[in-house]
Amino acid sequence: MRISGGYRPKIPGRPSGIVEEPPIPRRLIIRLHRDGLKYRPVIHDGQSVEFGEVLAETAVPGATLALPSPAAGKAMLEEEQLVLEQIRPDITPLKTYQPERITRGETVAALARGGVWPLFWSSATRGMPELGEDRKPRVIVLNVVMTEPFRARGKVILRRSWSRIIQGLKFLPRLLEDYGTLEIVLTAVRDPVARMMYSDLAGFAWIHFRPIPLRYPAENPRVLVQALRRSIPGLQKDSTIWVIDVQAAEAVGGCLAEGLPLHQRLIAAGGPGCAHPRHLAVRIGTPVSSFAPESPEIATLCGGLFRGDRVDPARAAVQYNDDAYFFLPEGSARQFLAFLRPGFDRTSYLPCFAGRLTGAADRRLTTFLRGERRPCITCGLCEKVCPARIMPQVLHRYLYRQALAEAERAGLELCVDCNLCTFVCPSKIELQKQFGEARQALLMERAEAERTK
Amino acid sequence: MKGLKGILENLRPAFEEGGRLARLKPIFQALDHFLFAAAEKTPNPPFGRDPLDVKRYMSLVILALLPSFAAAVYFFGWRVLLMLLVSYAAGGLVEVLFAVIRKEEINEGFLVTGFIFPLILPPGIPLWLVAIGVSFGVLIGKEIFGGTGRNLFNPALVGRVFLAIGYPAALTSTWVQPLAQPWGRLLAPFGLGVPDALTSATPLGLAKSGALTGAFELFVGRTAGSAGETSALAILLGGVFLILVGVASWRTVLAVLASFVGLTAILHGLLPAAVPPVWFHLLSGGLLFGAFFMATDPVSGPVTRAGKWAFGFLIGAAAIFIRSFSGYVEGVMFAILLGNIFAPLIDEIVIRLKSRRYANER
Repeated sequence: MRISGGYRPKIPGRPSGIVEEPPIPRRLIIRLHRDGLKYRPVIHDGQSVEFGEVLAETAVPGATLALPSPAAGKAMLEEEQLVLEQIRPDITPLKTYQPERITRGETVAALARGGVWPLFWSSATRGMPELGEDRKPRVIVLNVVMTEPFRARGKVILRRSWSRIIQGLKFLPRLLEDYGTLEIVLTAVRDPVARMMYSDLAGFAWIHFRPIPLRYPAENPRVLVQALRRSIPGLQKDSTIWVIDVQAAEAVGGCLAEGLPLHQRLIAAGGPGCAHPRHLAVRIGTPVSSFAPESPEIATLCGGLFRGDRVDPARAAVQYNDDAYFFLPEGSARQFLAFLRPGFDRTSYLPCFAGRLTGAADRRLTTFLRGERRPCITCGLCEKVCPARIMPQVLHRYLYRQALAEAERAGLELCVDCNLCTFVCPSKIELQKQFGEARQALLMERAEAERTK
Repeated sequence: MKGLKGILENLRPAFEEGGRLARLKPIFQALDHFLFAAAEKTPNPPFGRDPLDVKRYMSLVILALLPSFAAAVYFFGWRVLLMLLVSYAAGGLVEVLFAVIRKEEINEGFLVTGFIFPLILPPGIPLWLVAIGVSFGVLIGKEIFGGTGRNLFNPALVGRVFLAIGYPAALTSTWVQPLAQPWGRLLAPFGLGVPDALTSATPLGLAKSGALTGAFELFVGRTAGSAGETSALAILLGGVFLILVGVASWRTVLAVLASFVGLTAILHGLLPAAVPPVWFHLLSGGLLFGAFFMATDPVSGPVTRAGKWAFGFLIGAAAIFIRSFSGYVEGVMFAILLGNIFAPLIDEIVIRLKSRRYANER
């Protein structure tokens, strides 16, 4: 499949393929917010809970979503979060199912109760799929490619939990439309992991493989869906496509075949501020401080470099949908005559620094803006990297003079929030923020129009 | 370096709000950021950013102009360096003045304009005209639109056209004939006044009367002409570098050259007596310099990638038509300004065409 635009920068601190499994910490912290939904606790303060017991739930049309307990222990209610103490590490499986005997309704209910359902992404809602019967997907995409520096790599997870993932895949036909297909998106590299997948899945006629270039933001569901629609001719414009990643497939297998609700996440801990970049398999709720560098000179981003948000490592904990913590040194020293140096220690999107000649990684990446704010010089870099094939520089021009309608016409809503334009902008314009606010304004305008109608 | 940083830190309070010199903050800021990389932190995701900034971007353009500048000094003497200093001083004054009035930072774009300007002038031009031209160009071509990034026209070309129209005699009779010695004019004496070895015959002018300058002379640049425009060799050195580092758009350059070469070939085929052959037109005058260094100015060109093709074709075609069928022997300057005029229109067409696809994808 082809994807347009995109960029894969060389960033130091790529996590190694080894997966560390630290012991379960004494305290686990569960937030009562997930994917924009607020969960209501169903246990009382100080109650002792079993592994997999529902801690909190929220009602959505068609079912109830739950946060299952990642471990047995004593639950304390706090503001907007729930703390598990006196942890016992033992795991007792809940009810198991067999793919041939389970109905769609049972599948959906079990996944919703096991905390797995919100890991699915649907093109119809551009978020978690609806739970009702009506919108079955024509295609489910299993995405193995993770290009954002640095999120948990699909192949590391595949190597670790291949049998559970296969178990999970066998349940997917329950959710698909009749004659629906599973498209496995991976890089074309013929490495042992890819070979293993090819040979083990060769017998399934409903599973196809789709190679994709290793360029951020290939894993973005909207980018994948667009690329898929372009390369499958029979696919209707409005047919629903779901996207899951490898960890979600593993969670499906664990939840249904082994009776284990979502209790563990594989996370990548990496970046230039990380002394030992690695993958970690941790219980949900594990405090970030247990694996983050202790220096105050290092910023912690939850998520990768491009989309990650700053968190306070002393308060943050690994949640149900996390898979990456990026450690970025805080900028401190101002370099003398920085723009005149050849730059063997940095690489940029354009080959403007000597680092391109030696293939060096961008070793000077910090939280500095790395330049001064300037008016747009229309260099066009944002248009080149944009995976949605829109023209951020044109949108910026429109929004600069508050021309919201023009920006809408020029594809504002096709933006997939990959943040690449903001990353490469030499004038250091906060395009992402501007576009986000404009989309908000557009939604409000529409809601207003709806109301007055 | 630590000492330097210390001096800057000591001076800083005077330029901050409430300080005695707060009005002159842009000047301090420019110096501060020139010496030491800015220390602002990222307020929004992505919290790490690409190292490329406008300073680096513009300094690569100046780096790419150095071969042409060296060739200009070699062929036309050290006077070119004086012209550059005058251009920076006069243009810089206008730029700083507006930065102080607008309370904005001084913009690096001026350093490119001020560098290009002497290179597109006849090397024997009086220095006061350099000052007037660059001031006009920066003021009318850029500042009144709001500064770098908001200007419609290439400021250096606006200044050049102003001089060509306002002082036609000085602009057409102050060419300098390069010397044939291996050390060029490097040892020739020069002063603040106008040099004495002036001529009014450039290769394009001579061609009107049927005398074609040799290809080798044109290629290395040993002919009369605008200071930095004569040497195709030096321009190609810098221009190819600029394309390799991705600062100049290869689309624009290719489009200008392709349409120019194609049309010249056709016109030469139809009217061999009036239109000299392709190689001559390609190597003489300001075509290569314009294609590599001025048509590629991102600000005054089209915003959209697709628009760059149309923009380039327009410039190449206009250049050869003006050269062949107008009273001016050189048309690149007007052609690029014409392209600047059309750039917003070209963009509008591209955006309309793309909007249709966007509506489908939504």
